[in-house]
Amino acid sequence: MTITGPAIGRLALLGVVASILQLTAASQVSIFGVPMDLSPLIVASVGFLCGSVPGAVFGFAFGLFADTALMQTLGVTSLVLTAVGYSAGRVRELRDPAHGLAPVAVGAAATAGAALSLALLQFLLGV
Amino acid sequence: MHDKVVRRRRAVLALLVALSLFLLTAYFGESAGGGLHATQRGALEVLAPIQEGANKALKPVRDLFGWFGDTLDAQDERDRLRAERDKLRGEVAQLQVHNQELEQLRGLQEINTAGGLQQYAPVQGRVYQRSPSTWYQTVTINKGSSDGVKVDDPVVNGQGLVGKVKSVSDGNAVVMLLTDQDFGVSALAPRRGEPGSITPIPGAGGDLLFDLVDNAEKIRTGDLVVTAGTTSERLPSVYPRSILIGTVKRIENGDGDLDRRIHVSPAADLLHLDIVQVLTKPDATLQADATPTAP
Repeated sequence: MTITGPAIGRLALLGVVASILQLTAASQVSIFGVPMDLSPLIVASVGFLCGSVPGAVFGFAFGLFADTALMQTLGVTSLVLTAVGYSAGRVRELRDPAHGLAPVAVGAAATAGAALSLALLQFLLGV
Repeated sequence: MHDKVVRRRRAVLALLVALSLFLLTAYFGESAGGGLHATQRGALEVLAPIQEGANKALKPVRDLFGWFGDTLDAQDERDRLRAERDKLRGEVAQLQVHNQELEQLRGLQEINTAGGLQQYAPVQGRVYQRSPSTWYQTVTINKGSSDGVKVDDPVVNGQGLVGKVKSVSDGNAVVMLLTDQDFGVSALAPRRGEPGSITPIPGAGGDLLFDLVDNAEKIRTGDLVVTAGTTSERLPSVYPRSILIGTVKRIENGDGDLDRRIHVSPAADLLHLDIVQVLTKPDATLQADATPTAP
């Protein structure tokens, strides 16, 4: 799938708006005591709709933006969301993306995978 | 063509992963004043106003989500607090019962030691049945002849004289209260040294008459009345001396001294009797303390 210039602009805008929404609103809403995190879903949706390479690049940029804005260790969220975006794109390339339950399954797997990976990285790095 | 796409895809992934790891390593390696940290601070300076504005603009959205969350939490908390309230209410009721029993036992302990009733072999019992009649005022206790209780034994509680045993069976006894129409006891107003007798006033529940007092004019409202511990043909007292019966409540002056009626209010709360004790050896040769045994 070829990503054109306007599409890159739209993705960039989506990334900025989604990041600000996540940082200022979503992260302050708790569901069953857990703060809401839309990042894996947004990155997975881009990967699922645009492919593995755009997904990976979007995930990297989104993660970098989040780490910068939150003054976290640079590279941690980038690494996790790169993997999420790439994996979601590979699902689109290898499986039937038109199936009704595919987005649900991809979203659930992305959220669970991101949460586990972040927890593992934080444990290993002590950040 | 396909191989080229695959290679390109893998290359991009490897590049991004490598970049992430480089950033991670470099960030860890440098000091707080390093280039990456400085860049991060600079970006934060730019982003902070945007975040602040968005934070204010999105407050209603957060509040809306928060309202849903708070409502769910509040429902859970309400249910939890209700269960806790019910549990505590039960515990409070139990504690109140224990407290009341403790108060009564403390009164009995005091009357036994300070009032000297220990020598009359007291047997503690609990009231479990009351006579519904206002004419025959009796209660039934859970101690009987197997515990040494006999007919005519005096019955007291922590407040004072309650009555005497009217009939007894193996495991329980019927106690005639002070206010029963058949009750009578020789009494004494120790402050004035005036003897007399205590009898109930028929139809006036909870009211006693201090009668047959030689010098009735000496008696004043508020005087204590205790058992005299003496015997006579009319009232062969089975009560040890100095058990508190009540307090002079009111004096009606008639035409002469013989018409004077001295009303006495019983010291024991006869409507709320629970734990009482039967003095199973009222005729013990030892005498109780001469002071009134008010708790």
